[in-house]
Amino acid sequence: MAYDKVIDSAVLEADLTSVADAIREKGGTSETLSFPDGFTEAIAAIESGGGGDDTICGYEKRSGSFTLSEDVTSAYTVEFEEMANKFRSDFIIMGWIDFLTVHGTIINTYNGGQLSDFFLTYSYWMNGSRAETGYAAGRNTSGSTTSNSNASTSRTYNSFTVPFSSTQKGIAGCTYNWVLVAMKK
Amino acid sequence: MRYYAQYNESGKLVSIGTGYGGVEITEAEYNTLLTEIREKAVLVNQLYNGEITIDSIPTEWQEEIQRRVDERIAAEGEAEEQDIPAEEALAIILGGEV
Repeated sequence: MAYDKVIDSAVLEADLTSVADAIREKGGTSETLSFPDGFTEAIAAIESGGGGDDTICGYEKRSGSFTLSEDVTSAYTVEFEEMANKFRSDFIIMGWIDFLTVHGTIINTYNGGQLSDFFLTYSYWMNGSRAETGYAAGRNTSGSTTSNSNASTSRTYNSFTVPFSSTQKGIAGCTYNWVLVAMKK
Repeated sequence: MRYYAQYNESGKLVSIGTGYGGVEITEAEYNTLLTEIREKAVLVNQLYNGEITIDSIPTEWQEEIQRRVDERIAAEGEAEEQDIPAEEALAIILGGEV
């Protein structure tokens, strides 16, 4: 065999270890990775979109979940990475917050760099009983217009508020999943 | 997937979750906290319903579980309270129709 280049094996090993460490950190693993098959397999296994900072159909999407340690009877704020399109006035923010089933969305315009009152229609199962509440600033799941008296008053593009209350508690131990999509009107 | 824990100003755990915000934690820490949160929620319900006594709860959790049950009872008591006319109150006191 003829050699076309002489390299420092210690440097090469250090470089490969650096790449492997980066792959392990991103993939959330501590396993030893063989080169090249282990590297390529680990990279392929890395989930995309962790944390929900990506797009769907070209529009910005944010998603996440939260589980309350104790019952919550007041407004609860959820943060997300700031949307880039906050200066667009023709985007609609749709939001869901869901425990076990997906429910309708309440949509309103996204205006002047602020999120307008939006969703949150949510439901949750509690000890086998289903409780469903709609908070509207637009249309509910039946297509009827509703008042927005219970709508979120959060007006930022990096957080929204879940209007828990004494009559609509956030339940300890329940995991609430949420998705926000900035869609063009 | 990013996991986080959210604490209040007093350092008390408010929630855990996935996504943005809070203090980042590992998946293992998240799962440990999730298990504990749900175990405590079950104990609160059981103690509230009289299915268990405080003695059957781990010692380090007893104070918290009892507090949460007391808070739930207090909250329900407030929800049931309602103003009634003076005449009605007098009638009740004097043993009249409730």
